[in-house]
Amino acid sequence: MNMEFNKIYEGLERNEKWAWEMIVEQYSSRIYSYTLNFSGSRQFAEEATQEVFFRMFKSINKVKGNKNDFEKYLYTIARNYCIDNYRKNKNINIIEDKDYLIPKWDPDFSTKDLVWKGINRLDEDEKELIILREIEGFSYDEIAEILSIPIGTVKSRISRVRIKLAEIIKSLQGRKQ
Amino acid sequence: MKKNLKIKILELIEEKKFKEAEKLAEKDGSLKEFYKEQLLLNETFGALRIRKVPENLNKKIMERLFSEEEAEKESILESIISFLTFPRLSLSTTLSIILILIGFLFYSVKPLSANFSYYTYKAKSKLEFYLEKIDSAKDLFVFMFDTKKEEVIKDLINKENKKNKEDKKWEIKTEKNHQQQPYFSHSFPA
Repeated sequence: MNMEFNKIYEGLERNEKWAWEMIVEQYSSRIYSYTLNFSGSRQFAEEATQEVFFRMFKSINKVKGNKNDFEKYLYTIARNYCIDNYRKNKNINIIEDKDYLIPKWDPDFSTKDLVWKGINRLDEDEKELIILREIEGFSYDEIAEILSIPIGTVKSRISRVRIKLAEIIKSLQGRKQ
Repeated sequence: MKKNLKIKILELIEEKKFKEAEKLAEKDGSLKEFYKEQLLLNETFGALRIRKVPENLNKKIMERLFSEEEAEKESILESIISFLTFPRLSLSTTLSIILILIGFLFYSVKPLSANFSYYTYKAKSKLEFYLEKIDSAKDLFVFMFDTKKEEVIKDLINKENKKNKEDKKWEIKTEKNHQQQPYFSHSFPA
């Protein structure tokens, strides 16, 4: 995004199409990725991404005009949507085959597949932390704000989750062999 | 104890102090394995990031953002009509019902045209009566606000005085007549 975020934000506030197009272009893949990793369902992720942007569009005046706040708010909406619609409704058709996530022609397919399976074996809270930190690349304080928990808790939990994930992957590998 | 060391290794990896982390991991075979696993995890996580959205998703989002905003504006009129007529009916159904009702009203009012002319006449005469009243009230107002009002009043007073004088003259005459009355009575005895 070459243009300054402040200028884009002014456009967003005035509901100008060009500004929303830039934002959708920039963030749709990230929100899609987040909701897909969260749910494992493409259909859910598509619906969720549309809904997240629509909610953002409706509440743009509540967001402060800087990029970090905007991103945090966007992910908070995405997270809340996932919690409300995914956790409560477990009947969503989850695609077991993750070929669309990790293509089989990829030379590192087996490693990615293992890590992906390992992430899906984590508890929902743990999975959420790993997705935000390791896949979406948020900083500890951003995660603390999105999840409304202290930064120290975020750090210690992520370390624990990484240790747990390594153990799960090892057990999956052992089963495979 | 080992868990604490693992956490320390993770912290060092986080701070990108790989040499120190490796050194710490060399203390134990399982820690060394853990260190390698974590490096592999770091490499793999990035690859799990999906940066490709389904075709037309961005277009769908934009359509939803701007079509729903316009639809909301349009729906205000629709909701008023729906509220006034039948809720949960579409705009086209509501409008056709309104048209049918107008047609029905027109059809049922037609046989009453004879009565209609009678009532029109009555209303017209009433109106004429009130217009006359208004006209007289208007004359009164015109007089009250007339600039030559004082001259008119003077004329009226003069006329009044003249009339009074005339009256007085006649009064004297009658008195004189009254005094002369015995004369007449003597002249013409009963």
